[in-house]
Amino acid sequence: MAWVNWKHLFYGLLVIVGFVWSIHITGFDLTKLKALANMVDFLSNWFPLQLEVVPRMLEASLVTLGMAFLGSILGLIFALPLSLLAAKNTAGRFYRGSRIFLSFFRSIPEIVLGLMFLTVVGPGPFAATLAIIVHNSSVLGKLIGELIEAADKGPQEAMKAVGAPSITRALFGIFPQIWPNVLSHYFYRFEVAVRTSLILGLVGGGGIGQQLFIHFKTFQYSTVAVDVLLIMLIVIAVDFLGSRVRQDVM
Amino acid sequence: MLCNDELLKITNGKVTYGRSDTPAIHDVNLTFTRGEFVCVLGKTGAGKSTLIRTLNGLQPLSEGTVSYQNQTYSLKEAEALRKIRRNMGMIFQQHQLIPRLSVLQNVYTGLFGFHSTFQNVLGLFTDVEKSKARQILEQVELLPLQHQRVDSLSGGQKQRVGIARALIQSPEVFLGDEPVASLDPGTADRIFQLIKKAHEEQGLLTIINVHSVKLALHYATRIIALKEGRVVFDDVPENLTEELQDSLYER
Repeated sequence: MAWVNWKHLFYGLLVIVGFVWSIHITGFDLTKLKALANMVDFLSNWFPLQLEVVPRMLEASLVTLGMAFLGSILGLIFALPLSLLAAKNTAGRFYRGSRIFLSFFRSIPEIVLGLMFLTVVGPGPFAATLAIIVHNSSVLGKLIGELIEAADKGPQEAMKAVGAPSITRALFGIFPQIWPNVLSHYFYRFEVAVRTSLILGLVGGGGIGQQLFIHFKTFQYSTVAVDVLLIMLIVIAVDFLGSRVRQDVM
Repeated sequence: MLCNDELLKITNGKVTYGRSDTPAIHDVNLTFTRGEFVCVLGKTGAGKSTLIRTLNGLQPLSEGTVSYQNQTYSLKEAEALRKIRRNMGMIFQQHQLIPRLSVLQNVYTGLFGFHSTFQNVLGLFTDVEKSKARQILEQVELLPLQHQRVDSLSGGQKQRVGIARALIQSPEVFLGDEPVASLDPGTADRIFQLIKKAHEEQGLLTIINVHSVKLALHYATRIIALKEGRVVFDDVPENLTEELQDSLYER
């Protein structure tokens, strides 16, 4: 056993057990795919597309885009100071507390946050946006905190050596070097926020997600098709924008 | 310029890293005066870097004291230490410039010790400081590249930015932690010429770690040699015999 030791074998066994167990518990049975014709039948209901709803659904899509953008950008803005409190090298004695604080908020599913804000501000995009802000502040706070911990110490030392005040030190010694990675995380979270705002539509969060849900429940499949197409367009557009900006920033 | 006035002093200096038994430096007693150009010699692991870094408090002493103009400093008095540090320019082997910023912007970061974070972030530097930045960039021959990002420069150019960042502090002490170790001999010599010139014009106290005995003999007015964390030579370059040089680099 030149490459493998008992620990490897143990973990390998664990993966196999987990694999078999999951097949059992999820009813994973490829033979059931024989009924693929059902899906073709279902999808055929989607066409022809209900084109007259496009302008109205486009408007709803813009609402979704707005929720995702505002939610993620405000999340980023709150996350930046939080991240300094969540990194070992900058937080000092606040480290443990802010780590616990962030993981607490991160563990609340966005849909639950959405339902909670709904009771305060009523149904609609505002409640959904608040949920996205809270979730992204805590996720980005943690991720950026980890970038800060891994940042090169050199520029931070140089800033110490010139006698810079402590906040200047963090801003200039740390953020320029991690900025491309911060943006990378941000755009990924923006993309995720688009998908989240769709889910939040299910609980009255507004936007194209809510439309999709309504059309589905009322069997308007040719409109559902329009909704799905628009959603795909938004996700692709955000992804494209993200990769362009990242290229530019490198 | 006053000569022979005591600027920096390290008394019974000792640094031990972590739980290590052998100290990085120990029994170090040195006094530095204005106008000296000191080169610190010794092989890798002899404690050169540790010594330099104790002088501006980047490395706290385990035992002993460091003082600047008779003022002892410790890491606990952050404000006092900050004010001492801004009087000391430092350059590093790996330059330690701020990435993604331009040459000129990096030079401005040398002014950070003299302003509040608010002023620093908004770039509220005085006209005097701005023209000084230009003048220093001219001095290190980087004025044509002032708007280029530092990531795009060569090693020698980066080190000249490092020197400019240190000089804009109008320091009294100029520290160098192996500033030419990753440069070719020709470029290394140019960098030393530049430092020497600034040193003479501004009457600085300059203390530099260097691997090359040749550079030290050529530029230094005083050579300190370390071996296993102890000062084994502290005298004018003329007295550094070949035998001593050999013993420094043997095991």
